[in-house]
Amino acid sequence: MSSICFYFQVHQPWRLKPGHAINTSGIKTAQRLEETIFDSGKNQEILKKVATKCYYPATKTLLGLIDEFKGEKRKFKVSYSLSGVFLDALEKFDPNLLDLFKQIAKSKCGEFLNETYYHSLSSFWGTGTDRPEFREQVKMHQECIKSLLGYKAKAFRNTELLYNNLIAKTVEDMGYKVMLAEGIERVLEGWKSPEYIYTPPENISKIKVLLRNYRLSDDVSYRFSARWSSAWPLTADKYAAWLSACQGETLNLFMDYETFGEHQWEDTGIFNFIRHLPREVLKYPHIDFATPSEVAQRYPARGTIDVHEYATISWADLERDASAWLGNSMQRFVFSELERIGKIVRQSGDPELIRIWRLLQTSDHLYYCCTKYWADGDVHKYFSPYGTPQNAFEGLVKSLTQLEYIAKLKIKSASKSPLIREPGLAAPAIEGIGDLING
Amino acid sequence: MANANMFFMLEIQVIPQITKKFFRVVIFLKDHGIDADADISATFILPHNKEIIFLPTPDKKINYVYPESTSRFIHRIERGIYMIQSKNKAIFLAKKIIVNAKYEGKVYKKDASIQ
Repeated sequence: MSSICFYFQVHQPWRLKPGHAINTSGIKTAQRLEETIFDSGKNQEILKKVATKCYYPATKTLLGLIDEFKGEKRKFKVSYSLSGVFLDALEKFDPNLLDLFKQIAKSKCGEFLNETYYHSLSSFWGTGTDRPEFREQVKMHQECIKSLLGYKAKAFRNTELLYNNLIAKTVEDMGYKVMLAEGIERVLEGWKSPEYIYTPPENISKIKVLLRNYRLSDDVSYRFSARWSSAWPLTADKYAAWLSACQGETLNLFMDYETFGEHQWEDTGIFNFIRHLPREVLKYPHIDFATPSEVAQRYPARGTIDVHEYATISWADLERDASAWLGNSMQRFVFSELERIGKIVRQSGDPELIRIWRLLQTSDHLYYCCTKYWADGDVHKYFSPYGTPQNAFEGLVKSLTQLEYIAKLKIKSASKSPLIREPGLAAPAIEGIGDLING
Repeated sequence: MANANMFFMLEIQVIPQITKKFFRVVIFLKDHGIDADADISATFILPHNKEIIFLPTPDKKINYVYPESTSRFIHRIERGIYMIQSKNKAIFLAKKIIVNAKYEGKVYKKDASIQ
């Protein structure tokens, strides 16, 4: 028996305004900073557009398929990771869409995974398994999924499938039994294929790792409408035949949810394809559908994969490493600044400033600063709301600089605040009150 | 006859930032909204009319220094983006920075006061 494991990533960043449109001078409060740097109008507009083109039709289609096969012995199953930033936006602007995801959670044919709440690269901060910001964001996501979907996640996927031995060990330490990673050849020496389950080296961790079958996943997510592809047009029966040829135990088809209707438009036939796929797949008696936790329960680990901290893998670009976010000077600068300023923002104790700092951590902001000019450069450009990487960088620098300034004001005013004055001090300092009023 | 240079217009943005450990200035150069490179220098105005001048790195390659630097160079991060990063204690006394840029034969200037 082989199991097909469908997993969809659903995420929309809270985008910044382009650098040239941000003027932070004179801003002294978190609320004003948020209004000034984030493009609320554009974010709502994009969410509405993608919801109409992708989220509604795709989720309704998958719910219909779950319903169609619920009485069968072999059911249709899917799994998701919805970022916390995306869920925040749904709660605020599109609660009806959130209800559809709740229906999937209730159907018991859908699994929801945990990730970092802000879809961040916080798994890189810290040493060993001591990664407090990462742990905090994962915990926030855990609580969010539980309260919104009534679902306790058991499986984990890190932002953009970023994976190395230490991240795996940290994730295991947080109580997860299974996580997802990219099935790139450089971690699969010899006989190994993404069609089996692995663990990190034995002395490091026992967490089960499911590897993305990138060829079969990309056949749908990237090449579905590619007329240059020898497989075009890709039909459900043809794809099901490819899946049936699987020699291993699991076929992990991981992709962006936006594949349906947004990256591959409706007129490519993508919705018809997914609508007919389960029926075509289940014509083969040796295949079924399963979620990541079910796959991990059903099959043993067949070997180990060793991914050193300095050779982190991900599902992005041709390199399948962290270079999409940390490949150039601008990106590394912003990332080190985020870490440095984080200490000051935390010290300020202001929850709104901490939230803005975390929204700025969203990996997409770093992705927009990417300067790869070849094949993947087009992909980066497609996703970026800015004209150039420099423009994205400019917005980040201005936002971070002002965030640090406001956090320092906050710390300063708190130290002058009459509320925390030295015991025995007769009267509150007038200047302290003034600073508090001004925020 | 119209001068070709009149079509070039360099816009300079200067974002100074003081932290506990170092002083940083990020400089953005744009020509009609397009990121542009230029020959730039930066002068920090210190008390008693003293000045410290920073010049571009000699090789002009894209580079980036971490805050440990005490060099007096302006580092090019990317096209149109330059950075000064220094632990030089005298700079912490500066109240103003002036950025000069020579672009397409013309000199542009921008002042910024330091927060």
